[in-house]
Amino acid sequence: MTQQEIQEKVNAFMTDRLEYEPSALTPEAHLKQDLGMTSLDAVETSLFIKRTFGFQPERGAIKTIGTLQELYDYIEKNS
Amino acid sequence: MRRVVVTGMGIWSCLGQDLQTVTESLKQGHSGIIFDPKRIEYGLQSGLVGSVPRPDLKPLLPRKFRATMSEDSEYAYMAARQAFEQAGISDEYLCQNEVGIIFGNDGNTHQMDVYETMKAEHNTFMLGPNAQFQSETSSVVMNLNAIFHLRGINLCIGAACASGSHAIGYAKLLINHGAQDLIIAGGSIEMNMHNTIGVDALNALSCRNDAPQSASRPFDTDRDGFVVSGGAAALVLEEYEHAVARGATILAELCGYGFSSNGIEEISMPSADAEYIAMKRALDDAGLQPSDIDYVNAHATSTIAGDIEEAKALTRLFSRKSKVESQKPYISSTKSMTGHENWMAGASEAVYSILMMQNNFVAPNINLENVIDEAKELNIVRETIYMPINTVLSNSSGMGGTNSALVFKKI
Repeated sequence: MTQQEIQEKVNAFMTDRLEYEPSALTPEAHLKQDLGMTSLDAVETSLFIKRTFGFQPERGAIKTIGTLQELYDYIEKNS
Repeated sequence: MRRVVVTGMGIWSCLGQDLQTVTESLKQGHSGIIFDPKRIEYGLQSGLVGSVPRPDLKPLLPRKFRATMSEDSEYAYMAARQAFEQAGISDEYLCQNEVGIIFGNDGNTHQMDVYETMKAEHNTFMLGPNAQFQSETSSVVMNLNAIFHLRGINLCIGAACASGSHAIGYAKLLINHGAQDLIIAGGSIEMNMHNTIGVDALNALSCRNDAPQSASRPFDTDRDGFVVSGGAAALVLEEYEHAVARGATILAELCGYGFSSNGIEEISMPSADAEYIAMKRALDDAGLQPSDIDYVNAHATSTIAGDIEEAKALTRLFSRKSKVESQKPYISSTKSMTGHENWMAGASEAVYSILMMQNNFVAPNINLENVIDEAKELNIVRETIYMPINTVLSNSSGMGGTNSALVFKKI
């Protein structure tokens, strides 16, 4: 899967499921500080990754990721 | 002792999803029951159910609240929202004042979905973050506390089909004794099929699948069980002086709460003696005599044994030979229209009763063609009666042996 496809799927999840503002989904946006990702959202995001990209993030991994670009990279590296 | 009044009500039921619609349904003797063939396909004997829509919460609540809500929390939110609005309780008030919550709720079948996922996946990771909050019995009070910023008593009461009534009664006690000034109390129950399987297995449900609107027949000789229904009902209960100081409109006084437990070995059997004790205790708490009661909202669910035992208890309480006919209260079971709203019933029937008081009518016990022998001395209402109602006794009873009764009066 290309990074562009990863970005599209992640952004669709974040707008449709987590209901984040689409305009806020820039690569440099910080998951917690800019998008308001909560600890429950992080668990939800882990489940989304498992279902969509086929690997199970390690416990607490999402909470250590800073920006959206880092999340794309993390998924690309592990899938 | 501090007096307790009702200053707001909300309802989400098969008779309507606002107070005005429900009032009209009660006046018209409208049945909210439908036949759902999916229930038969699922394996139930009874395909009968109250027609209760799921609310669309997306325009009303951010996702962070919606995500953790169980089905019954959704109904409870809609009822609580209405109740707070009627009581003039704003978000600002809730943020600045301590308000408690007590809801009756005796089970949540979201746990079944959790089991299904675990059986298939063998991995808790696949449950996601919301399963825990959605599957607790206390899901309703946990979710509503977060949404409404409630910081007082936070309690879920599980007492089978008397849960909603006990919740209101317990709120009354806390306000009576000065522990709280304002509590939102009520009852709620899911409408999904899982929630029905146990009582269907007990052969406790009506199987008049070809005649849904006449299936719930409290006190009728041809009754064959109850019809499941649900949703939520909520009441804002408030200390009298607190309500007056706030300038709130007082809808009724909650002046009596009574309770009892059956204490018999047959767990599924109702008890006339225990129901009598609960109702008498509620009247004593209210400082009223049976002859002071204008209307009784009976628990009567349309089951074979339950209606008989309640009729015996009501006869003992109200139909003494020395009593003149005009002193007997009017009686109806609104479950003839709603079906049995289970954990919610004690709360919804409090709302229905107060609506009758406010609008000067007694709702009918529909589908009553041939009254059972045990109820022949009772004044059961078959057609809507228009008259002032000043005092109401609302009776509730739960399978397993718990009983609760509430008394309301005009103020």
